[in-house]
Amino acid sequence: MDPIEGLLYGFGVALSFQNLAAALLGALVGTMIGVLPGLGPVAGVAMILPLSYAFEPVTGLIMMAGIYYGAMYGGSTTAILLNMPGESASVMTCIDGYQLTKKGRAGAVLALVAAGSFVGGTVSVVGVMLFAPWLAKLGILFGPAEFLALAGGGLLILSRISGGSFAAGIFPMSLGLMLSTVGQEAITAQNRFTFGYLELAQGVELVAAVVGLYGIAEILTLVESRRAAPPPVPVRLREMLPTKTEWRRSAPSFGRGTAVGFLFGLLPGPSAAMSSFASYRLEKAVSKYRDEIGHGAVEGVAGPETANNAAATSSMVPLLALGIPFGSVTALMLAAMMVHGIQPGPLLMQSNADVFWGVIASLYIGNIALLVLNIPMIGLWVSMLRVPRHIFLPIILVIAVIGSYGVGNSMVDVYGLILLGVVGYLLRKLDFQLAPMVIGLVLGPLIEKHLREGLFMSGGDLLVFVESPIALGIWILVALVLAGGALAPLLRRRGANDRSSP
Amino acid sequence: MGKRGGYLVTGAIGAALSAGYLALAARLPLGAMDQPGAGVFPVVVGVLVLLSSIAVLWEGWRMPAEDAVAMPAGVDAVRVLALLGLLVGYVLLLPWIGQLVGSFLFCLLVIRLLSRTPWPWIALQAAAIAVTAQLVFVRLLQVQMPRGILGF
Repeated sequence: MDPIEGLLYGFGVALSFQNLAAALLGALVGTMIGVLPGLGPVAGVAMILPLSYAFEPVTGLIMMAGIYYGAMYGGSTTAILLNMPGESASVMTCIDGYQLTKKGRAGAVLALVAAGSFVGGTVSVVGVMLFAPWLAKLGILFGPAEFLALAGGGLLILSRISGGSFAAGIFPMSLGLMLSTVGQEAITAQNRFTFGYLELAQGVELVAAVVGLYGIAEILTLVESRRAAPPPVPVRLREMLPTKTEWRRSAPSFGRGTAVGFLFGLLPGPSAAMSSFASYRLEKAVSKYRDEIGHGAVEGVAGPETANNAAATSSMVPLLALGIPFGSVTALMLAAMMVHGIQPGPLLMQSNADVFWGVIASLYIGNIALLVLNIPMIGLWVSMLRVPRHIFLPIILVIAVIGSYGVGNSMVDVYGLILLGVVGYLLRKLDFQLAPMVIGLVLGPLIEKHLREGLFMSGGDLLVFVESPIALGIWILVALVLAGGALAPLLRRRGANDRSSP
Repeated sequence: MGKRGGYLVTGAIGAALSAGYLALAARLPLGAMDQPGAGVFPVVVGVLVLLSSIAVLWEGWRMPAEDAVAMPAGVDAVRVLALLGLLVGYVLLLPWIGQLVGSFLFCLLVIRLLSRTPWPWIALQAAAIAVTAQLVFVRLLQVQMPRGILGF
């Protein structure tokens, strides 16, 4: 099936009533999650994960994808109106977005963000459509050594570039791997670290872990302050029309943001947040109006917001083509596939063409849904920001408990939710990164599987993991990234010393 | 405690955790190189946790003593601990008092903790949240939540 045929087939899948409703509902719920503080895209997708088990696999995945990019858009609303980023990818949007709100251009900026998100998402889908099948064909050549290099190396890179110091990434990553070994292992059905509790044989529940680490930890942070957020500026529909100049100035930023976002989405790491940061820096460097950026320029919003949506979309490529998630949300989508018995990887395109092409087609539909829903409904999203936190926080907490219990009908998962919530809260206070922990938890079983398969197949020869050119190439790349990360601070310090010495 | 202290405590906890984990992993079958057993990967992971804990200790050791952690203090800390206490109480009592009553009591106390709304109004809001959660998740989506001694 070539990409055009595949896409047409995908539209046939995605345009069924059930899947269309899932895309629309996902975009709607995602925007709500992004707008409300306390739940970001990761915790939001995690909470929907148990519900997705009740649907057909493709329906569940379409809904999860809709929530992801809906939450990306919703997060930018609070960044622009309240100077509060709804999630990490909207941090850069606060700078110019809030300045523009103070100048009375909130409505126009929200419209530009919706348009930029649509452009970034849609163009990125074209890239996904063309690139994912090509990568999947390459992936068919992969064996345990290549997959181990990709999963293990990707995890190492992620832990290194997620932000913070070396230990701030590697320590949570190793904790995530450790948690992944709890429960019955797949090859010999041996129970590990269960201490005689049968409920632990299923392993650490991903939903409870993610909602705890992201949701509960965020809520504990939110209640630290008694002060509620200031009321948002009211935005009327007629104020949402950008001027011709604003459109003209935003257009190049849409293009640059799309390119940056698409590339970052293919790499391990918090691609949406990193791409918005890189896009902002790019706008500062090349935009014709770069001197205005930081003081309320549309380029400072249009570029990063386009980039983060493009990255959210292209992050599906490694998941769909290789079965390797490079981010927390795609890790959750991988978990959803595995629960449904779908083997993610290069053969997905053949074995589950409906899932592969249906999800890609749904990305188009989801982007249109976001545009259609968000511009007319902006008043609703703004009014949601007026819901007092003493109402929405208990709602989120009750749903978190029900969601964690509902996956395996086990109170152990709920206790894990609270425990990991506290762990996440404390680790965040110390600036540790949580994404490597989640991805370590998801990738741990895959890494173990490929490690043991490689040893079985090679008769115990460890060199098998670096013998193939692809595996060796990936490990060299990983080593370069890690070495670069270690050397960069030393070089910066040396440069600073040279400048300060007479 | 500053950030440096936080790193040193975290690193020490990580090292202790990895020691215990490695001791348990060593009891699992390791197999042979060509037939790796269930203990091989945990041993690798245990060593990784130990090394990363040492990295945390090392960074903590080299960190300036004046680096601070933005922890809540005074009444703000009490609010965080109170919410955590309510959450722990909610999940511990859930199997006995059931989803509906448990959620109602939990929401009642959380709303009171976070606002100065009068009690009757709080009770109404808490009841609305608990009943809606019961209808949506338990009745509509068939999530089998604990029923408790009251049967709902």
